[in-house]
Amino acid sequence: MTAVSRPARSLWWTLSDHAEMVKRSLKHIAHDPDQLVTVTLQPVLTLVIMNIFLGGAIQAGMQQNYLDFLLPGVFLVMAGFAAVTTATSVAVDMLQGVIDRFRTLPMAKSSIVTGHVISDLPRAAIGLAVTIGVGVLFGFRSSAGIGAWAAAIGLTLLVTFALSWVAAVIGLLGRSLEVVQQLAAVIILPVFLSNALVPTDTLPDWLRGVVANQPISQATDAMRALLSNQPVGDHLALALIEFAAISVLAFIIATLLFKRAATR
Amino acid sequence: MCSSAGRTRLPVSLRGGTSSMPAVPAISVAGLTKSYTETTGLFDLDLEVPAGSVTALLGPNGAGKTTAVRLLATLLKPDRGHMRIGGYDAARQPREVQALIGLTGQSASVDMKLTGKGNLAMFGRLHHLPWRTIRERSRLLLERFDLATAANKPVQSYSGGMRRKLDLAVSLIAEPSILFLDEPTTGLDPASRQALWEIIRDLVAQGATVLLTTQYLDEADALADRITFIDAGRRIAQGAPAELKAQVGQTQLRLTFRSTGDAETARAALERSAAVRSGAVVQLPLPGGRDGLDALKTVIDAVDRAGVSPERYDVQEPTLNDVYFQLTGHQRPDEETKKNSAKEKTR
Repeated sequence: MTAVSRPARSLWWTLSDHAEMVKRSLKHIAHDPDQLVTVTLQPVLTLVIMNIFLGGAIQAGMQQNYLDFLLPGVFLVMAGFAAVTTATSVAVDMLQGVIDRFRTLPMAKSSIVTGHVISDLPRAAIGLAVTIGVGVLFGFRSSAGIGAWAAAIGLTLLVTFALSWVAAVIGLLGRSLEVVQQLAAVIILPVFLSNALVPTDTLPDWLRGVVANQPISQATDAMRALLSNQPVGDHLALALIEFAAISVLAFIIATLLFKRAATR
Repeated sequence: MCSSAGRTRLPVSLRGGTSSMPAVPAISVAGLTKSYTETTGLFDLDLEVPAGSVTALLGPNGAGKTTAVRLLATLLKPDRGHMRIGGYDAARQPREVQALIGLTGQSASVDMKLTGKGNLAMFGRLHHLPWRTIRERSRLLLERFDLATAANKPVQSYSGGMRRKLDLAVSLIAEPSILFLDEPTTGLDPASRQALWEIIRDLVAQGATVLLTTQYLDEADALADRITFIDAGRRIAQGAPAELKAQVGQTQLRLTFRSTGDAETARAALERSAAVRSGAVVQLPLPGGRDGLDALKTVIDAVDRAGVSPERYDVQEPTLNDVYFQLTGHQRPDEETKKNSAKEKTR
């Protein structure tokens, strides 16, 4: 019998630790389904408000059906809200006593933060399913094939993953839960300062240049092209590169912050 | 409640029990320093804890007890000094150390959203234990800590005492050979406190090593083989409870008589034994051990010959309280306030 605690030295145990920490976060969702409210209610509310209340006015200035324009953008709204949760979960772990237990275990410590980030993906998948369902109810139709849909869903999850690492950085920076919750709202901001919900044609030139080329806008453009069977141009490649880069950068910063917090 | 099988990974035998003394102590610390300010933190701590023994860290609030435990449990990095835990260098091989230790800190280190059982399962998996072992030990630990009925409820719904007990159960899931307990019984009811003492004694009987801090001197007296007193981050005394008590004074015999006159007669008869009288009470020191019995016989004979007989007698042993007050200089509450206000002024 090998009933002895052992240090995580092998790749197997490192993966096992990550699986365990993802499972923990998923159990949190099961025990506290409120966490799903953010990723479902927020995008649906955005869809309803934009489409019903503002949709008519926006439609007047554009050729395309506004709902077809809007829904891919709402995917990114959902991604933003899915990521915000990570800031709070990470902060709760770091500020409460449980972190001391994790830190004295022979586990791979990186799984503490990574577990929260990875568990954002199934959460986002649920939010995405609800968003698409409500979109279809409102009359959204797409002629895109399975490949294009897979690419759009994959891109949404990559954006969630990248923003989730940014949220983890915020969660590690905050000295109190209140501060973290305030700061986490910053993650949503780039989504509203993009072409995700409204066309940017009417913006002044200098501002449009910034807004139309920021990563969220690149992802929105790629998503719209994919779902309406249009050529994606360089939007998809740029979005993939940019969000992969954000993921790596935020991951490195989060790792450094975690190490700093751990040696206080 | 646990088997000692499979401890082959240890570089030294920590599970050998108290009878076979291993060559390497379970905890060996030299010059350990972690300073926050000039008087807070820990300074040049030397400490050796033999395998299979209990050492208690005692001292006033803010003395550095928690800092010491956090350093040893790999939660803090020392400014200076060496720590060897179970033969491993704590600074260079933290994971190896972490596989040997269990820690119960002052705040409950469990996942509030998971159930009691869920916590034991998760922390067992993060110790890389097989599922079957986790199941068996979880059941035993939940029973032992009287948590079986709450096993499937989220920890959020637990009372403070229940959280504390779960925290202790989680610390024991991997059957650590070295256990750090930072004020383990604070906030526990007397029954749970006794239950934990029993568990600690069992673990030690099986060869585990325990380092605990406590505010309760009777707890240290009941559990510890050795006591280390620290104050303002520095070690001020160390030894077995009996040795420390012997340093502050001897056992006192008190005889209470019917009248002051009788008492004075007895005191005169016991002049050579350094007896003193206060009202109808005569008090004299007794030597420890076998000599004490002989001395007691002499006293009884002498009082008898003087023709008086005491109404009551009692024997007062020096307590760790006496040791504590003498060492920390907090002799009386009023003196303590004076000292503290003097400290405030100098700041």
